[in-house]
Amino acid sequence: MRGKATGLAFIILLGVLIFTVVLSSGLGAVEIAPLQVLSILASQFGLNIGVPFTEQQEAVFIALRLPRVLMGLFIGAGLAVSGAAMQGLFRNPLADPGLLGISSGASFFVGLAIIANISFAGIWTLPIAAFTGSVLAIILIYSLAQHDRKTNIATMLLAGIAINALCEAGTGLFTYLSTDEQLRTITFWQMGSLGGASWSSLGSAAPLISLSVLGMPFLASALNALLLGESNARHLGVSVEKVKWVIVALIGLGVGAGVAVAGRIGFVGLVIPHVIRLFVGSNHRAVLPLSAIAGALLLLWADLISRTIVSPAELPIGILTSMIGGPFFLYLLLQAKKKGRL
Amino acid sequence: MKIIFALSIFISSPLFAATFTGVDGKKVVVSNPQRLVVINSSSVEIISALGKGEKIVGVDAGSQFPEEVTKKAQNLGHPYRPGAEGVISLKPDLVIANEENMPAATAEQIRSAKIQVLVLENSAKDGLEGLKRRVTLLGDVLEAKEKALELNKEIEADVAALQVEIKSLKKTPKIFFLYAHGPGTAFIYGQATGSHYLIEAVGGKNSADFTTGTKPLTAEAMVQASPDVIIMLGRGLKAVGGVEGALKLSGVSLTPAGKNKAILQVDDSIRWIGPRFPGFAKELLQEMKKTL
Repeated sequence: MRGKATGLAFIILLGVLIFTVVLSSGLGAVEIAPLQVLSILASQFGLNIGVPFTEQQEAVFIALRLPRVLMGLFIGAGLAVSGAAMQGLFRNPLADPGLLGISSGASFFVGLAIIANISFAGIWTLPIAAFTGSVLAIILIYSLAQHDRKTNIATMLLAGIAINALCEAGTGLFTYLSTDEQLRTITFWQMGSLGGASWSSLGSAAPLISLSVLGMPFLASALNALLLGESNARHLGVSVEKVKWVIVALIGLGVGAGVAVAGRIGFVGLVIPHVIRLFVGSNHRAVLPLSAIAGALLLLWADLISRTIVSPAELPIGILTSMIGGPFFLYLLLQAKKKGRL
Repeated sequence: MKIIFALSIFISSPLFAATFTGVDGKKVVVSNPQRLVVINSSSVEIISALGKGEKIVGVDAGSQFPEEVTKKAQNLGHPYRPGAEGVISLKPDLVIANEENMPAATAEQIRSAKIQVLVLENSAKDGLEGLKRRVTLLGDVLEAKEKALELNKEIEADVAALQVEIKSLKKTPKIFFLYAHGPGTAFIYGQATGSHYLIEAVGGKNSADFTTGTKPLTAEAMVQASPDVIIMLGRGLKAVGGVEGALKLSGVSLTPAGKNKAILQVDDSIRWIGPRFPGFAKELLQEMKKTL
């Protein structure tokens, strides 16, 4: 039964995702009809399919819309897969990339760069700071959890919480010390946005996130084994230490690269894996790829709404992910409770 | 039809094309722009004062004056984070914004759609001198040189009149701009801010000149500044519950201003220096004279 449900969910979600990509490529402050989207795409390869479009539509679609939609796709998938893997690793349904200090490590470094007026890399300064922060946080937490060449997951969780608190305090201090202008930059970064997406930012983030999204399913059976406890996993022939390292590294890449280019986007990593598990159970072979697709879907819809609901203005996406995801998640919880599945 | 078409091409031809350099160092070629997106309340006011307000098709949510211009234009949202696509969708032939209102990445995105973006100095830069520079520049850009010259002369005349009135002040009052929307959310506005220039324009001394830019306010810093007069934005004063409410803010009652209830209201847009600035200064000076 589970297998059938998984296959069906996969096909349905993939279909909806493709539909959403096409839909959101055409919708926005600048109107571009579906046929015009095709026409613009064809013209990039020197083909003329006879549907006219303006130079402005082409510029908006190619330079802004397309990289933005693709960015939403990658970041949503990366956040959700990382969330699913983290919940598996910690055997804790409340684990999420925010918990390990990855996002707050990034925030801390972004705040530091802003307050110290560091701008060595122009518009790339903040993304580089964010990525450095997430990677440093994860390395620090991981080394703290090392004992006798083994990693203690409970220590890692607690170290993560401590680092998280420290980084948040640091960011708070920067906020306090900041001028009006710096404060605005920090605040907007914390709310997240795909509005700054460009081909170059996509090019910097997508390969790293892809490593995470495509690599994690290879660890699905190891994650399944870990659900039975570490010693049981070892008996099943899983080289637990290596696996943990790889998972943590992939989470760092998936979340860090996304946070670097779009700021903090909450909720996706925590809730998408839960929704998927409600439908297909806890087998990571199903949960990981389905989470990727569902995460991408949530972020694409949130972004679509964020840039159309108050058009020509935009809402920050972090607000939308929670506003769309929250009620939907509560609804699913209530359904599951009614059926006695919780 | 053909003649009208040919004529309109002639009018919009780059006959008057001129090149300007924004503060971001980017060159902008301007030829008789007809559709303006303006992200900055001070610039919206200047352009309207130059008689070109009807060309403004989009503004930020912070631009609320003059109403006949800002109500008609599309609202592009937060003054500091305009979305590139929203701006492009209004098909402007020129986007005007201040440095703080136009992140470099957004300007780049808008330029990728072949739309000119002119980035101006921030409105608190150099006070009234900065204002006159922006008036002159916008006058050149929008081919309203005469009007710009007139406007600058008016500004100078108003300032000169203020100077005369200031002479009759018995002392140099210490003035504190209290930026607050409620208890515990107050800020200090130090040097090189709009309020600092307003205080100078009315012959006062900014009692918060120990810092540059803005900082969160503590009660002790308020007492240490010991201002004779406190000025607050209209909406800020309303939010804290009027003068009585302001007196309850930490530290305020311990200052000379608090003891004399010398808490005055100024226009909400005072932190951005625009054409109405000398007028605001005049009003404030008159109110202040009553309390001193």
